[in-house]
Amino acid sequence: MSSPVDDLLPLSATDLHVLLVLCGGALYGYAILQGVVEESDSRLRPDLGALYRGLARLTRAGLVREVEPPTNPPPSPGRPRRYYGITTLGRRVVEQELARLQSVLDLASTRLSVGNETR
Amino acid sequence: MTGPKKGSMPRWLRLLGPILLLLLPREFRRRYGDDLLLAIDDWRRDRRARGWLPYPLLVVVLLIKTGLAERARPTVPVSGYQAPVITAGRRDVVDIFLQDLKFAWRKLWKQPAFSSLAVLTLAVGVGVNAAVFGILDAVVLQPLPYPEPENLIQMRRTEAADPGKLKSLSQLDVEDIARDAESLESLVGYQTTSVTWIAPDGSPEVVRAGALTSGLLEVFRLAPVEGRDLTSSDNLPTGPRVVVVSQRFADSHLDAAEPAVGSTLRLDGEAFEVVGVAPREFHFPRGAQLWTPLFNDTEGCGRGCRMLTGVGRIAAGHNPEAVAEELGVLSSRMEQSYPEDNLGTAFHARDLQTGLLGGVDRSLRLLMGSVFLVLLIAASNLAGLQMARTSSRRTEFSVRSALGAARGRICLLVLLETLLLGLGGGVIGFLLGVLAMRIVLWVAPSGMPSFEGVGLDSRVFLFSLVVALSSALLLALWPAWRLAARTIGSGVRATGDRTEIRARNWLLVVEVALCLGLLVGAGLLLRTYHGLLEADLGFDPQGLSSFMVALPDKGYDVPEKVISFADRLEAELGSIPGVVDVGSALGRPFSGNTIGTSFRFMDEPEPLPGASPSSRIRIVTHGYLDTLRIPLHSGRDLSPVDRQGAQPVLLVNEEFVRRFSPARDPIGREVEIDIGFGLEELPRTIVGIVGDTLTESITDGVEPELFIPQAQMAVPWLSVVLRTERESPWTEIAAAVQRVDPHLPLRNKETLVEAIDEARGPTRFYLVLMSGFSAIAVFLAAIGLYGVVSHMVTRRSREIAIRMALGAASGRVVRQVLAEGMKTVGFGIALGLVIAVLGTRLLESMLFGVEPLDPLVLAFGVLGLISVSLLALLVPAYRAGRVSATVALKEN
Repeated sequence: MSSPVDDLLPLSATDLHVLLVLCGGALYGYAILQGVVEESDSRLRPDLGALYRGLARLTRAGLVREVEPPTNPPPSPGRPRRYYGITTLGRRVVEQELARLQSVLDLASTRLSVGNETR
Repeated sequence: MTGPKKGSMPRWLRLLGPILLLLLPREFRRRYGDDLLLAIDDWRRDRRARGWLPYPLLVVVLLIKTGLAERARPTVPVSGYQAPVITAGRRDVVDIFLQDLKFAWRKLWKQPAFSSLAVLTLAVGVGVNAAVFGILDAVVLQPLPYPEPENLIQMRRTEAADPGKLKSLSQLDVEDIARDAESLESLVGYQTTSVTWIAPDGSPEVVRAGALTSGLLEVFRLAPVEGRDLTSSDNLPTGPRVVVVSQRFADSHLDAAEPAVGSTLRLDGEAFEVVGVAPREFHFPRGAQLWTPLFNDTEGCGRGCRMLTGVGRIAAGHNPEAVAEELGVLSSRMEQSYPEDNLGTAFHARDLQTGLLGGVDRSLRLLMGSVFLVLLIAASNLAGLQMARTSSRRTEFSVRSALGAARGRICLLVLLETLLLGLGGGVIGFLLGVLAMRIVLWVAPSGMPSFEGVGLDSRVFLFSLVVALSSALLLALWPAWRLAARTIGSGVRATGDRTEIRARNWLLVVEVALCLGLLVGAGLLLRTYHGLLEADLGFDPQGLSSFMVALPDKGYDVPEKVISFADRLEAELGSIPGVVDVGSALGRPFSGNTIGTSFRFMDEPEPLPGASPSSRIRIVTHGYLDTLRIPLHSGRDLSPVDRQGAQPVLLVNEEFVRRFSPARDPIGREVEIDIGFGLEELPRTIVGIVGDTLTESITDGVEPELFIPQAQMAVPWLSVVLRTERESPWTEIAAAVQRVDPHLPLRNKETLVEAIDEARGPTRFYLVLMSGFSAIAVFLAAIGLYGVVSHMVTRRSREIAIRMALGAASGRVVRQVLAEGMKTVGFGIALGLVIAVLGTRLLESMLFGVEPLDPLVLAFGVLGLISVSLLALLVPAYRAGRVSATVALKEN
């Protein structure tokens, strides 16, 4: 069996952003959505259904888990929200993914600068 | 928006949310459902804070989408750590669905007879519904195309003596109410007219116009494209002549190089200055392209001179009830202030759209009801077909279920097949609807209001699809479920067969009953139409042609000129070869414009104000009665000696005598009439009694009429009537008019046969449609009957074969099959008679000369159904008589 981390790569853009948002600390559903929209410059706008399906998937893969709410959560009406945090495996997957992306980036910049010179 | 409940979830989400969550697969719902709803609430609040409205619909869509997606690619149970597999198995719901869809399609394709019959049956039902819905939608359901149409009202008045009839308003009434009513933002009195526009090259053209007390655009919340709207200050009899034209008229009639506003139009011989241009789409009332002030002299034409309809807008903060209440107060106040004219008069406002439709909506709704019955019949047929088919597929499903197919899966298959049939039926039905609507509009009489703009649009398409799919699905659910339930038990011949035959028989009973209802409806309309054709008009319309001229004030300012015009015109027309008689009248029969007048007998005490008797009045030349062949019953006819200066005379009709002078011979009695128009009137002597004629409508019966010689009361509007021996010689007629006055156009050219035919138009329209619908219904029911009995014969061929082998004569078998089929038909007819008794009352207002429960119509309906049923039964019955014992026994 190959390393579990390799099986999970590449991450979808939304998954990566969700994980990145959670790297900053555990959050509740809508806050994660807002984080993803904000940090992706509104390029990613998953709807809430897609977000929760993503969370379910990531939870199942062991990258995300439900955590205790912070001691002083931001005021939100109604019942308390559930908080989702990133797991150690999740962090490793993000790191691996970023490394992978970095190598893609390196490759691309070499290729493109070469291409520019020959033109 | 900060309500007190800001903190908690809004009620709709609290109620709707948990239900919508059921769309999600169970595991996912348990794990994330609650939290998802909370997040949706967060999202909702966030959007609201940013000023966007969070539509509940968005939430519904979101959850449906999520549910479908999650079902298609489920994330397997979430409890416990498992090897991370992000993509689920490929064999998911979508694949199953597609596979079954393909399978269903193949199944249907392989049974073209069944499929096409089912699709066509449904399509016919959907098609007629789409056509009628399209009309109903465009004419009745769609609001008028103006801002806030629900606040537009039409105003009329009633008189205490005749409270059921809505009547016209006078200019003074309108002005008073417009000034005093606080619940009305605006009120305009209008009259639909036509004016003669003289093109720069001198050719006349009649243009539809509205004569108004003030500008209409404000009422409809429209802005003039250029210039200004009319105002009440334009409406002075002596004021400058101004006109507002529509953009359409300006584009097609005016010089494009010059601005429309400020240009001059010649209308009815006078120069009008264009002061404004109305939007292109605006053509109220009834296709008007020009709007002028009334310029009425209210001095001469007072409060009793009533020719206007009111149109207005309810003021902000008021509602129709407030308007009604205030009008009640104003009515009684005006009764007190002007008892002479307003005693017993009450003003009424109603929704403008309702007012414009004038009862057509009711008839259209009835039509919609009858096509819905057609749909029910089609759907019952489809249900019968499906049942027969599913029962014959029992073995197939038994095998599938034995191989492990779940009941739901088998149901899904049947549902998908039905869905495909429904889809086909919907699309073909829409296309049939296109055709049907063409036909409907083609037979629609010109008198029906606002059928322009009727067309098949996306709404009608959606309607067709929804109707087709929902009826298909509703009908499929039951057999599908039953079938699945049954197949799981046994693959042998089913026990439910008899239940099914019974169910199909009941469907047939309903079909036959609905058919009878429709047939009776059509029969009643047929008798009504026949009654209209046979009605005694009181004159002979064959060979009569008629046109109207309106003499402009200019050139015809004194009565002598009008009278001499009529004399010369009739002389010119009489010299045309083939013209037998010529006469003229203000308001010939079926012209849509007759006027009424109040009068009193000079030998009776003056009646109380508001209690004067009234009669229709026709101002006629002396040739008129002869031309129409209206018989003279006693006294003398009008003659050329009845001129100005001679003794003022008039004729009355028999109804007048019956109503107002039953005990005394009216000849010689003197009558004073009050016609308005500012015409001064001397008492007139009755010199003759003529036969009754129907005036405006065949159904309204005869009314009292007065005939006054035109030479003694010159009015500048003449309906000329000619009796000719050949086709109406319009060219010669036009030439003759030109010889007398080159600038007069002929208006309302038509033959009286046409005019009367138009009056029968609406009845003929509904008759043709109802007949068409009931023919379709009978046809569908016949197919259904044929199908059920054929199926029964096939199913029982073994039994029949045994009986015949044991010596039963084939004639007896045939009779038995016929008898069984007819038993169903008999039940249907019995139920149908009940439907007819209950349903024909709705038709009552459309009938004439026939009772809703006409025994003849009922008998013909029943007989017709029985004969069609027998025809439909003959083939299967004959087949039953020819069952070959060996073949039948071998098959089974």
